[in-house]
Amino acid sequence: MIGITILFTFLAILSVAFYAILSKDITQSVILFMGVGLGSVVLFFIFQAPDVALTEAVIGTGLSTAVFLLGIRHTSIDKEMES
Amino acid sequence: MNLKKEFRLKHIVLSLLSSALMLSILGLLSHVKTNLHKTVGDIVLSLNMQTATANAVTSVVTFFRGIDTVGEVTVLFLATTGIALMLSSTQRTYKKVVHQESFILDIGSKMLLNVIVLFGVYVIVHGHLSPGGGFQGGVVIATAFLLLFLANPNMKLKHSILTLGESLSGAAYVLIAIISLFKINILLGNFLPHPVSQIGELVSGGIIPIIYIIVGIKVGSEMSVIVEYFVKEDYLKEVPHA
Amino acid sequence: MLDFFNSNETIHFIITVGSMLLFTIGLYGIFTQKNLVKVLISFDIMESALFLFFIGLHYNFGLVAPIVDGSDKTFTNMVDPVPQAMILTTIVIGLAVLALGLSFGIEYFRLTGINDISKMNELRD
Repeated sequence: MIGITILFTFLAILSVAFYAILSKDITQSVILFMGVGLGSVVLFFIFQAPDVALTEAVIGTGLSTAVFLLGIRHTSIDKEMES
Repeated sequence: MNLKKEFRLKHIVLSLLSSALMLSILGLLSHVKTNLHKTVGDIVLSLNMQTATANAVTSVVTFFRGIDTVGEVTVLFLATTGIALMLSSTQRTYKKVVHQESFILDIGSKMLLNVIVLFGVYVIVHGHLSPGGGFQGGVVIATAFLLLFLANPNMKLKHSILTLGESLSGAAYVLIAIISLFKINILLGNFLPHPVSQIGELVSGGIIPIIYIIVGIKVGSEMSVIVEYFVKEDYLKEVPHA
Repeated sequence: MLDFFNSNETIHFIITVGSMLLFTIGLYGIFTQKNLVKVLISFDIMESALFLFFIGLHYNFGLVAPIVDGSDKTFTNMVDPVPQAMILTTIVIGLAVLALGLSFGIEYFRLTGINDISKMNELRD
């Protein structure tokens, strides 16, 4: 059962990462990247590493996404033109 | 169009080749693993009973590989210094944001701040008993400050308190290492009493919880400064020419 | 069927192939994408692949997390704590380095107004 769970979680992570790379909208890409971190949390918990799972839950899905979202407001052109 | 397609093909072939290289590295790794009877993890786990710490990962971070943690904290400090240098280099003035005083947002964010900081302190203090520790708890405290900045853009952190906490915790880490060197002739050794019968209690493990609390203060103050610089970037006066 | 999925060899094979495919997706993003933030996201995806590889390869079926509770006070039949401690600190440092790179990008965009990495040609001959 654990093997099947690992397999399907990996499939979810791979598809989310693929769409995060190919997406045209950068904001959507950042939100999809959060899904990669979320799937990693599940996998770390299955691999009996609760310390790493807690770290990834705080950083990969919380602070990293916030830093990206605050950063893209100053590296995109069209957002600045309309303001 | 044909040229563009050729470039795409080159990229895909390059990616597949590099992944094949890593697969061959994996083959080597598995070969080594089957021939090795005792890894370093087994030795650490058999020695871990002497440190009187319930969480083996904590004892590896702060005791068995304590010198590495000093280096990693130094890397964090250098990255924060680089961010401060980059984002405050040119002369800029902060725009005063017209802030509508919303009662619910103001009171609600301040109430949530206390709860999140309390959870961060819990994660730091119980680092040697349960999953968690200084690195995770420090980042939890930084997310509390992120909430406060998003609710009230005109807020300012008191940099004197942050500087004091950051530098004092860094100095205390080195001081503990030197004291243990003079006391029991081991750098970052456990010189406080740590009886094995106390394993699982809150006060146990000698210097290991103290070191993790120091790391928590340092990581929390540095991450708060990073978050502050990134939030303050959004409210600048000048708009870049496109 | 269930025994096949619960063996150590199958789990290690899934972990290896999955994390290498994730690494390849990140590498593809670095080669093809033009936006600065997209390149940083690709770097982070590669980092996640390495974390999964490190942690997953040291998991064997039937082992438990390296934490004891009060009842049984022995450190036996547990996973290796050393890679977990290394990855724990690497994740935190990865966030700080990511923020440093993003701050370089913000400063560059403010000075020149360019966020396309194929047009950053100030140092070219």
